[in-house]
Amino acid sequence: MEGIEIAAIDKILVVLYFVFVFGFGSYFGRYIKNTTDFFFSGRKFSWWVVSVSMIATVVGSYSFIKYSAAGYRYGLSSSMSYLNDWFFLPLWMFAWLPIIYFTRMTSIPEYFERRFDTPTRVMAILFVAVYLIGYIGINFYTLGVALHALLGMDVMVAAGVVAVITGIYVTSGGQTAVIMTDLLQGVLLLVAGLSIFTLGFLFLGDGALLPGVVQFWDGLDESKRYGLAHFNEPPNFSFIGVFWQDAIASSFAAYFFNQGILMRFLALKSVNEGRKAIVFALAILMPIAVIAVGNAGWIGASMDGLGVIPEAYSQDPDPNKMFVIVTSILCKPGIFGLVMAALLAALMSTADTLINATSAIVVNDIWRPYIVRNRPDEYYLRVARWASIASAILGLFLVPLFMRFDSIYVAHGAFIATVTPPMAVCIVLGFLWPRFTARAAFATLLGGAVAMGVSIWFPALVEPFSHGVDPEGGFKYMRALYGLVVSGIIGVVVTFLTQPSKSAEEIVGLTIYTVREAERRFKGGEINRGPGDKLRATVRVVPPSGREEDEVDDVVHLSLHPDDLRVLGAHEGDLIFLADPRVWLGGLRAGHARVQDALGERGVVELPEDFIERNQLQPERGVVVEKLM
Amino acid sequence: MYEVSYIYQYGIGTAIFVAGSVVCIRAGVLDLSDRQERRAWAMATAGLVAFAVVHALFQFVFPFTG
Repeated sequence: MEGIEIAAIDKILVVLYFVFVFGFGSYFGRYIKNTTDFFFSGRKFSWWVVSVSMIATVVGSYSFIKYSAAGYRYGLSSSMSYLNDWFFLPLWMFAWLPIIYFTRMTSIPEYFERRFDTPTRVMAILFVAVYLIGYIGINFYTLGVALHALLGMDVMVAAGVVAVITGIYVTSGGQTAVIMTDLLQGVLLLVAGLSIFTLGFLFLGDGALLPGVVQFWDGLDESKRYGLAHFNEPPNFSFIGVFWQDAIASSFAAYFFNQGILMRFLALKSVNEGRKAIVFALAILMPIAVIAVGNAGWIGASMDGLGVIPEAYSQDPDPNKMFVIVTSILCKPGIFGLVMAALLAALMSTADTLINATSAIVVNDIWRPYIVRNRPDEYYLRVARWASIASAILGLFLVPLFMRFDSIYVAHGAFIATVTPPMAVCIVLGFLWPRFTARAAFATLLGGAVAMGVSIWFPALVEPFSHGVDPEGGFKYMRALYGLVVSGIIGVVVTFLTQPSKSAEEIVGLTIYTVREAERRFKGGEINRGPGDKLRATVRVVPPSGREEDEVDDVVHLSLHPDDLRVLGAHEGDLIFLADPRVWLGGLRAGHARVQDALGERGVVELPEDFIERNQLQPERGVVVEKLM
Repeated sequence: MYEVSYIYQYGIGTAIFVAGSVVCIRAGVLDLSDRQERRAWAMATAGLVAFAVVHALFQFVFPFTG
């Protein structure tokens, strides 16, 4: 199958989509004034914006291809990977997120420097860089594969076009462009994915929805109706392999040290918004996403069971082409263009996040601390933009490497399984065990990586952890459990043989036991946890305050009327948040402030011109004020 | 062996979830007397239970219908 005939309307839709995303993303360049804006969007977004945009990031272009292939081969159990992220949630919500938020961490390697030492940070930079840039390469490659199957385009040309467009709008609009375009693209890919499911039911039911659902179920073999796969067969898709490689290792990687996802959460207005965002994403959006990316395979399996796949397609049963086959059967001109746009959305929304995250690593972990120090922020903003372009180019260069693997799913899993366990162990011990030393952290990263590498050449090392999985597949998935155990042993043993190099004071805020202190230091005083309501206020524009602390704090100091403070439940010194009253903006036009005193006019906030301009507020609309802490 | 998959996932997974919650409470970062934190933890717990129920249906009931 060398490409499918595409209707003109579909091609037009794809081109329009490219142009729209390019323009929409580039528009947000106006919100970028410094590197904090470029990487963290000024910490102001609402939970739902981050939640939806995060799903777009998690769903890559490879997702449609690989989960449709898995869905066709193994049925509903292909959904396992999207529905098993719950187990670390308490530690993430109440320990890790507050740690990185309240210590104003700019990158994951920075945590390794502050918690351990410089050599450990350098090692972490290597790990995170491999993780991020590898992901960029995988995304470009899989999109190339999809477009090759759809249009007969050359893989590198297809990947190159998307790399240029994504690279340009990320370079212009930074994290704000990433979040806003991903919000849009998240909605699109979920709608398109669910449309395929609906069209599949209609196809199977001869135009009737409910009979189509019944037919769909009847067409699925019993072995394809399970939510969780067979315990240890086959070696490339057993439950136990996916559990250790995905539910434990990959989920940990995604939420604890995927720089792109963590930067998304650092763009939120508060830690509590982050908790809402993650629960909404896991409980509501992930189930929708798993249907969106996998249903083409399920529909294909059911069509196969019912014997209704047209002969032209059934002669080419490659599961990796199942997404393309099913969508081309189901979708009429116009709808097919929408699906192709969703595929592009999935790619661009993942690639833009990774490009921005890689740029953050380059600037905050390499350039600023080690190469050119103490320059004005404008200089580092320029470096960030060049780094974004370089990341996109580097990802493109990796595409040929991923062409060497015979299965996208296996290639992706092997990559994640190899680099993840040592980092995961290091982070867990780092924030849960204050005694865990810098030398132990370094040994864990180095020793864990070496052990993982050695096990690729000597798979017998993994056998004790195999849970009965056939060694035929080389234990690709079970290697994660082996890596976690070996890395854990190295970390614990070396800790007991070495002494901590940092005092308890130096690691305040970096372990679970000192999160509350980090919160106090973030605010600059005791936390106000009392109840309060939101308040609608009118804005009076005043000249810039000229106060040095406003610049240092990146907040404005406000006087509020005592009655307003009562409504807010706020006191002097509390941090408050001022946002445009239009809820649908999700915090795009908003900023932080600190209560200076109780001397203001009732229902009025006096905002300096520079604060209004920096946060793109529109005084004539007023603001909604709420207490944060 | 499909039932073992369920027991394994929700056995080990729930153990990690409960252990994580206990560690957070003992470290003082999860204060169940705080309304926001209690609500966030309750939502997370409800989500885990909901997924356990849905997976149970797809593991023990639905495959044998139709």
